Order: sequence, then C-alpha cells, then structure tokens
Amino acid sequence: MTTPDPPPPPWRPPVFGPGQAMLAELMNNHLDPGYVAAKEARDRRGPLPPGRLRVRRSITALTLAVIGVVLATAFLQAVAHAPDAAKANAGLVSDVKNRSAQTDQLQRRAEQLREQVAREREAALASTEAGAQTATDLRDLEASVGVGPVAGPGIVVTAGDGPEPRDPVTGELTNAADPARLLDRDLQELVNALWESGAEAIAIDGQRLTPTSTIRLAGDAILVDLRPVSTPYKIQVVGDPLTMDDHFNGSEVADRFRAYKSRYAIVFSVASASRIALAAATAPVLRYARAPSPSPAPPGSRSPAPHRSSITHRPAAPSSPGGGR
Amino acid sequence: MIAAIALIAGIAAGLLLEPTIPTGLQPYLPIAVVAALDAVFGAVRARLDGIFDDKVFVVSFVSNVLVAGLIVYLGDKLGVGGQLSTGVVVVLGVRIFGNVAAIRRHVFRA
Repeated sequence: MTTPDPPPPPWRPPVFGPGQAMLAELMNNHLDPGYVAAKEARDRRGPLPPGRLRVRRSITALTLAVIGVVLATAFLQAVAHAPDAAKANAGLVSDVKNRSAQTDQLQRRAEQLREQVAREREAALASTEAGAQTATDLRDLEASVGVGPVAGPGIVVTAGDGPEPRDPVTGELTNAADPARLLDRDLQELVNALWESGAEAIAIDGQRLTPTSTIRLAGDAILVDLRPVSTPYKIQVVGDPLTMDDHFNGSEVADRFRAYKSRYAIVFSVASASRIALAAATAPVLRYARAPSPSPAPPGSRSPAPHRSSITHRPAAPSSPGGGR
Repeated sequence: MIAAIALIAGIAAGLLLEPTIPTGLQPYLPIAVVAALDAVFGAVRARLDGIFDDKVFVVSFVSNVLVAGLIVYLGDKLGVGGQLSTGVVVVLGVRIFGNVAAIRRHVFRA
C-alpha cells in the first residue's frame, strides 16, 4: 500500500522529547502555573466579594505565620543539633584538662610533702655522725633511683616523628603505615643506650624515669609511666656530657637513628647542656613492701637503711612488651 | 504588608516558643523548609507580576510540603531516600533560583 508522498511539511521548531520537555519546563517556568490560571479565572468572573477576599487574606497570613514557625524551628534545630558532637567533645576535653590540672596540683603537693619529709629526716639524722652519713647515702640513693630531684651537666637528645605520609596527588594525609613515626620501642632503645652511656638520671618530656618506669604505646600515643608524651620527645640526661656524648654518639642505636633521620626525615639531635635540673619522679606505689614496725634501737646506731651493695647504682633499663617497627 | 507582618510574627513565635518536632518528622524538616521557601518566593514573584492569588498560594504551599515529604518518605522506605531528597531539593532549588531572579528583575529592573 503506497500513497503519494505528502508535500514536505513547513519547518517547525524541533520537538523535545518528554525528558527534555520536562527539563525545559523546569528551567524556564519557575512560577506555579496556578497563578496564571487564577488570574484568567478572575478576569473572566470578576473579583471576589470583599468578605471572601478577607477570609482568604487571613488564611494566607496564617499560612505565612506557619512558614515563619517552620523556618524558625529549622533554624533552632540546626543551631542546637549540629554542634552536639562538638559540644560533647569540648566538654570531654575540658574534663580531661581539669583532671590533668588536678593531678598536677596533687603531684606538686606530694613533692612538697616529700621534700618536707626529707628535710625533717635529715634534721633528725644530722644529730649524730653516723646519721649524717646515712642521710647522705639516702640522698644519693634517692637521686639514682629517681625519687629525688637532681641537677647537673648532661646532654639533651631530641627525637621526633618525621612528616606524616601524604598522598602524592591530592596532598591529603593518607592512612598508610607511617615509617617516620617513633614507637615506644624506639624510645626504649634510646633510653637504654643512654643508660649504657653513663646516664645518671633521665627524663622524657620532663617525666623522670625510675627503675620501674614504663614506656608504652597506647593507641597513637606513647605513655611514660602512664602519662602521655608527645613528639618531638625531649630526653634530658644528667651525666658527664663528654663521655656520654662520645659513648652515645658511637652507639649502634644512635647510628640507627641517624640513618632513620636521613631516610625518613625523623627529628634526631644530640646537644650537650651545662646544667639540667630534673624533678623527682612519682614515688613508686608499694604493693607488697611494708615499713617495718619502729625498732626499739635508737636511731643512728643500726638504722634499717638498706644495705648499700644490695642496690645497683644504675637503674635497670625500662622495657615493655609490644610495639615494633 | 499584612503578609510580611504575619511571616515575621511566625518567625518570632517559633524562636520564642521553640516548638519540639516529633523525632519521626525531623528528617522532613529540611525538605519542608525548602518547600516553604519555594512557596514564599513564588508568591512574592506572583505579587510583583500582579497575579498573586491567596488560594493558589495556600494550596501550593500545603501540597508542596506534603508531596515533598511524601516523596522523601517513600524514598526512605525504598532505600533511596537520599537520592530522592536530592531530587526534591534540586527541583525546588531551581525554582527558587528562577523566582528570585524574576523578583530581582522586578526590583532592580536588571
């Protein structure tokens, strides 16, 4: 069935498909078509009677009031809800800071009391010659185990994390394992090498080390005696600066850290200092040891002071399991 | 004039009374806000065009909010709530933009 071709239709603007028509409608006609239709209806039928107009006006006003309430509520909710997490966070941070300040204060008070006890003890022991000798011995022992403050020349070793790994394209921090990050093991090795080089007292970020100190990793933080220290770690060492510098710089650990420094750009430096003052460490918590009941012997004759040779002068190196490069 | 006063009174009332929204309705509040803004800007434009009509305004506002809420509700049930919310916000956002542009042309003649 063939029919003769119809004459070519006159040119028409291209017909949009349904999707395109919808998009064109969306982009071009923003006003509700109801307004135009209502205007036409009004033109046809004439204006509304004043009474009905007033009713409609008041409904419009009511609707606008409702819109106002919605906007205000949304505003209030946005203000109240968005920073909820931030508020909780800030509260926790201030809590932690308060508690830290409290601990510091208690620590200071404990130090004062300890000093007072030491003074009283010395005053009591100074009456006899043997007592004075005991007091001197005691002070030396306290300094070497870290429960007495010390001051003297020494060296300062600074070690810290290198730059965090960044994505080479975006420059954002990546979650990849960071080889330039110091672990508890690194600090332990440094401290052990320093003890080996003749250190007499060591503090990390002001935290004095004792024979029972621990250096441990907890999450991302390194804890020294359960108190966090942060990079760069400043290790202050009291001892003979010359021999320590020589001995430590020649040690295998220092070699390794210098290699880390050139390879991973970690922070590592050794400097000597003419005077370093280190605070006393927290006195160890005695779990099993008990002070003996006061002996009937007069003080000074055969005091219950520990036998000298039973205490090694150099505290044992702190160590802990876990952590690894 | 009355309309502006009513809107401001509504905002003041909302700020002062701090109405609590039931938790179930809270996800729809942002959509309701966008729909309300669309209705308001449409009404202002119609007013400037000289074709404002109270009935159309009220009905368009109520239906906008209801339909937007319904779409989002259905989307939530179907697991595409986020996408449908985006769709509603895009459509209403385009309309708000266009109406504000028209209002601007009326006010600044530019």
